[in-house]
Amino acid sequence: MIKFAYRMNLAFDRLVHEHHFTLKCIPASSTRQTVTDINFQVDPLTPVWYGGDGFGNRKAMGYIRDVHDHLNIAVSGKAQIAGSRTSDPRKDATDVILMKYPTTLTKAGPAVRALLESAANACRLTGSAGDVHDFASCVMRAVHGYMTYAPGRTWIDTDAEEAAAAGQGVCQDYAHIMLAILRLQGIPCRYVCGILSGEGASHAWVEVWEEDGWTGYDPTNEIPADRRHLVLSCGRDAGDCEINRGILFAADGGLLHQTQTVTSLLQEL
Amino acid sequence: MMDLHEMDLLRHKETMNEQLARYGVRFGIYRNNVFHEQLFPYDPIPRVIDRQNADFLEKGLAQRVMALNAFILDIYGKKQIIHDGVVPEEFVFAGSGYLTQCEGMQPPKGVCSHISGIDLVLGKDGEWYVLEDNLRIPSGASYPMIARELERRCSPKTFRQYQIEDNRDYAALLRGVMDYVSTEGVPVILTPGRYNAAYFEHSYLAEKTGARLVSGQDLFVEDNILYRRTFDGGKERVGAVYRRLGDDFLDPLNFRPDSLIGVPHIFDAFRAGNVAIMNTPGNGVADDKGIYYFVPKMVRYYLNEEPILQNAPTFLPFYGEDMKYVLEHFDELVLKDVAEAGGYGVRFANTMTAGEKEDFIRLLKKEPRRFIAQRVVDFQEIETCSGDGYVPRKADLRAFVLYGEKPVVWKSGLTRFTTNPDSYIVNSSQGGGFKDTWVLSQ
Repeated sequence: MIKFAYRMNLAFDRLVHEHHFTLKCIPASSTRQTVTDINFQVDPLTPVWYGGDGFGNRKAMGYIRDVHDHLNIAVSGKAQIAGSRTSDPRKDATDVILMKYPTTLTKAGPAVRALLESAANACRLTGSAGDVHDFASCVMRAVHGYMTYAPGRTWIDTDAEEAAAAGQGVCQDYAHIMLAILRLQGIPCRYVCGILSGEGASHAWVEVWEEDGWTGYDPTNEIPADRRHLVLSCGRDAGDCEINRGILFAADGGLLHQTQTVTSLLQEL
Repeated sequence: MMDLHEMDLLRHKETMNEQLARYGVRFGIYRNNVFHEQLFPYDPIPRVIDRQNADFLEKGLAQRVMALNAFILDIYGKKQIIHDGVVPEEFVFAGSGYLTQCEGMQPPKGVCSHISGIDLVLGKDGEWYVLEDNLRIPSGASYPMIARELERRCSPKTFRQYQIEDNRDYAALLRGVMDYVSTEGVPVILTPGRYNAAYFEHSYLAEKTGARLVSGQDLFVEDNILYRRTFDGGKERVGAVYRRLGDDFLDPLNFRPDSLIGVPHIFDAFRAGNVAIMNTPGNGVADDKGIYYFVPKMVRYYLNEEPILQNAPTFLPFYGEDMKYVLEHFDELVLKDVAEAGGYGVRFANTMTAGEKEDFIRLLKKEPRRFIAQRVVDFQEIETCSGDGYVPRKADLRAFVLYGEKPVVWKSGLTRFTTNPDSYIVNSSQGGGFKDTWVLSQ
């Protein structure tokens, strides 16, 4: 059993109003993780309603009409994580198909193709991917070995090819590159946004479809995404897993700046 | 076919065009980022569809729209047609029309394509061919509607002389669909605003259906319910939205985040089953030019019937066999970029220079999925007034199918003609005018 906490503070440098927001930060239970005792808070106090997206993620939504200068959210709870596999009993899990196709953020270029080749060479794999699990592990190693972890050098809209060409980035970039390589081989795989054990910001990794379920790989740390990884949401790429998306207006019509602070915590109970 | 040269309406061409201008029947286009509004020239000689053709079209169009609707529901649901290998998954998921946001959606009453605009031509061989399905926000119904209203005023005599189906029921049909799919609350027509090419139509349809014309800031969502702000500061619930803005702009929290004309969370209210959106977001998956090829197969697959209407002969370079044909018969074909609409991205191979051909074929080989190739359908001309005489002009037909309880084909349609005698492109954003479409009642 673990306990987790995720906190995001948004501070605006002037008063805002007509603020609509969508949050994807409430973990759902699946065959790999059982989530209980969820506590979810939004400040300023405002009515919140819930829904879902096309990937089965939970969404919390709200609308703050009056002026305010911050939005703070906090979610915490307990979870039991079984391991790195999310089995999917459906024989024809239809949403798997669309995870095969590259998106804007996971399109391959020369740098990604070169990485695919070096991964295949390193594992002495031939053109066909062979065993998906072995291949995915091999790609994870190649991405981890090739990339240098460097915060602040890439942006949220940096795509896989740009990050691979630069050779540096953060967890999101590692995940995008791994997805781009796997999708070049037609292997269904998805982006995961979640929390890693310890303290820090949010984390990102990859899940790969292996016959009848998803298996998690964390290319940033070159480890399986297992009991140390709590899934918050998944999608084709980071764009589908935005933790916070909002639209709002400065009350005086002026130019608005916001500061975002994120902290997360995951520890064994 | 009847002789229309003696028709009284012919004498009223000028009056009709003046009246249409006075009523604000305009068409807007953007050129070099500047908004131009232009009149949509009207020609008094109608397209006449006899009873036999009308019956054929009604059956064929209703069948086609039922199959397209079933396809949309299937793609965002079980994807059976892909599992059964009838439509290759590449054409669905690699296309721009498919929206993951719509996965698992359940539109009220299972209707996705409430208003379909199907573009057809009548070939010189006497056969009808479907050129394009428009299932997103097809426009144009208001032009024959108001033209008929004005025609009857200018020349009541004409309508005593010929037995024509009344087309002024479009608004009632549309309102019927709104009320049928509505969850609870009032119907509204959502416009992107004054600077939209079809703004005249939005305001006209609102007036005729009795639905309120609203823009994005008039609506808001709370607790997954869509409301309209009332003038006294209160709110009323909205049950059906006939939206005339594209999926991209509909909801900044679900689609393009920079849209200022949409309604935040409207898509979530729809996903929760609390409001009908007409047409449903994501319909682009079924009217993509690449998917068009598969529509007759959809009819067989979902309805277990033979398709009544045929497509223009189409080839998909994506398939090796078709690519071979396209390269061998290149000069006879028209090539369409599947990502473009409104007559843009249409290239006639016989008008290309040798250099252009070479470039195009290189692009075609590099991105085969991006194009479809069609044999040019030589379609019939319709007489059009010119000075004191008549000239033949190419014309197509946009038929409208309204889908509530079942698909109903409107007994009229928008007939567009080219002003350029050599052109085959009749899209209104490319110049040209329109005619009324008469369906004979006997």
